Amino acid sequence: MKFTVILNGCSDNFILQAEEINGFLSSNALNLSRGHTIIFYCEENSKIELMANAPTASVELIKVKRYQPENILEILKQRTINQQMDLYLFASDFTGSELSVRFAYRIAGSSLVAVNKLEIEKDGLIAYKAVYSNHMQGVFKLSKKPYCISIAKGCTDLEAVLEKNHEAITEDMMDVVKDDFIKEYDFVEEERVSGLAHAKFMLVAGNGVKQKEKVKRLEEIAKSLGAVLGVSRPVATNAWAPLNQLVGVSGVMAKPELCIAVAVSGAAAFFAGIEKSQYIIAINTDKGAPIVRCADVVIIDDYESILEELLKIK
Amino acid sequence: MKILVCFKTVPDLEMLSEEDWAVDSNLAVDVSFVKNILNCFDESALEMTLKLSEYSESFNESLTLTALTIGDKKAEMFLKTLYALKFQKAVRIENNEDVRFFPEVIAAVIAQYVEKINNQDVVVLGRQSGEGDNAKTPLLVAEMLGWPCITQVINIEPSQEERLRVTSMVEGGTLIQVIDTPCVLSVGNAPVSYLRVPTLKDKMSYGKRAIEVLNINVFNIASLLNKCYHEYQLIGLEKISNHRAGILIEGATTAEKAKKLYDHYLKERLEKQ
Repeated sequence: MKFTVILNGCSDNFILQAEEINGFLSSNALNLSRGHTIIFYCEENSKIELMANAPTASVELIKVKRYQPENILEILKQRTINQQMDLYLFASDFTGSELSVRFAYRIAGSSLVAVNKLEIEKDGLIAYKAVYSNHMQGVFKLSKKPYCISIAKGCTDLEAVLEKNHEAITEDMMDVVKDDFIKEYDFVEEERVSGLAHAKFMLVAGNGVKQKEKVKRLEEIAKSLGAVLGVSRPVATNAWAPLNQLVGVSGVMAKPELCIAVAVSGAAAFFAGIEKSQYIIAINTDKGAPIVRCADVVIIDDYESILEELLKIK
Repeated sequence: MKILVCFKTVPDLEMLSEEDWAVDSNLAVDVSFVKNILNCFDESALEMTLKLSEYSESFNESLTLTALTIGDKKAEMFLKTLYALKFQKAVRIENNEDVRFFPEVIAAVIAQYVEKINNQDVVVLGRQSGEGDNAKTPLLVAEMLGWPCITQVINIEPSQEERLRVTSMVEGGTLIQVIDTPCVLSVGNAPVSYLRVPTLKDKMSYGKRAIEVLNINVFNIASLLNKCYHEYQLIGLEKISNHRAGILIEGATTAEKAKKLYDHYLKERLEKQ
């Protein structure tokens, strides 16, 4: 199957995107010699690192003023117009899912977002993805090429790129402008990085914490225990914790060695964010909560009392 | 400025027990007995738009808000609430077809509604919803209308010259953009998660207006579905099982439970960190 990987080299998470896609290619037995990689970049001095992390030997580096989806989509269409490609693969972040859907529409292909696994058949592509808010896995058959697929967050192990003999061409396409509708543009960098994606020990709090002050205390407890604090969607959207601490399908998909989940009911869309934890300890007052069946060890009790006791013992 | 907010009511899937997740011959799960709720991203989109409408008054600009949903009669309760919250128009497009995994159909209906029935300056939608979890509808609406799209929107404010100041989440931070319309806004994890409750007075004054109901056949749905069937189909559906050992730590006191947890399950693991 002839494929092209699309990566956003303007982003700080480029290496993560590249290693995740590389892991996906490897676990889905896609033949790298039939692949090509397109990387969008903004900084001239990042080119060498970007190229070194391209999963395929054949690489196209395209310089853009900034990563703006309207411009990127136009460039992608221009660069791929005469290609007979079977599959376009996009990263697992939000930019990847946006591009996969919009690009598929523009080139009259078919798209699927957050795909975990692919199987290639003669008359189509079989793709697996979570549906029903992560309660079910759906199996889809795509019949219309080119297939535009964005992969699911955390669907594969990260795999460093081994390819050493890259052959790259560089294009400057800064003059492609389709974002005239933007009159002012201001990027505000996150004040602090949550560190959740790479945390080895995580304490996660659910809606059962009920108050912002309790989340603040949990932040202190996490620090004392040597853990990083993550939160469920209601905790983040209630502004009890920063949005970058959100764990789950629409936030971070974490893979810690140890995870303590407190006051978490275990809604499937949240649990997907901690399911790759090596060991899960749940502390909850409700023994009927779904998290009870999904944890390795469970305590049915008030989480605050248990954690305060743990701090005394430690 | 005319703003259309599209929302979906979804079954509260967290209410289903393990045994309820049986798949029938149409590759569907019976969720008819579960209460319907607003899709969480759509709920943010609705509240965000109401806030925008309030702020706009200080810019001497009045917004015309329309709420649109595609589905059966169950959604009317929510549309009445939106009338009571001063949405000027509440529309339901009657649909009984299975479009769980065909966001292309939903997007085409919304785009036709905007192009042929009720022209708009902005369309606001939640980024994704169960049961399909397709995460495609806002993006496809933008493509079908030929409008730009901003994703992961967490705030919308008015700006000078009939523009909007849109805040969205991007990798490593937030983006604040002042934009011209038309535009599609896809709402993400916004810190505006609950739709306000209307006053009883407003419920009485505004909540009883007639909901506009359109038949989905007006939008040529048969041909849209047929096109989708030829492009992709759901061919399997199975329950994701996350079960683990679930060893229960028991003890007479909290201190005893915490001690057991630490000694038997935590100490060694913490030392490894």
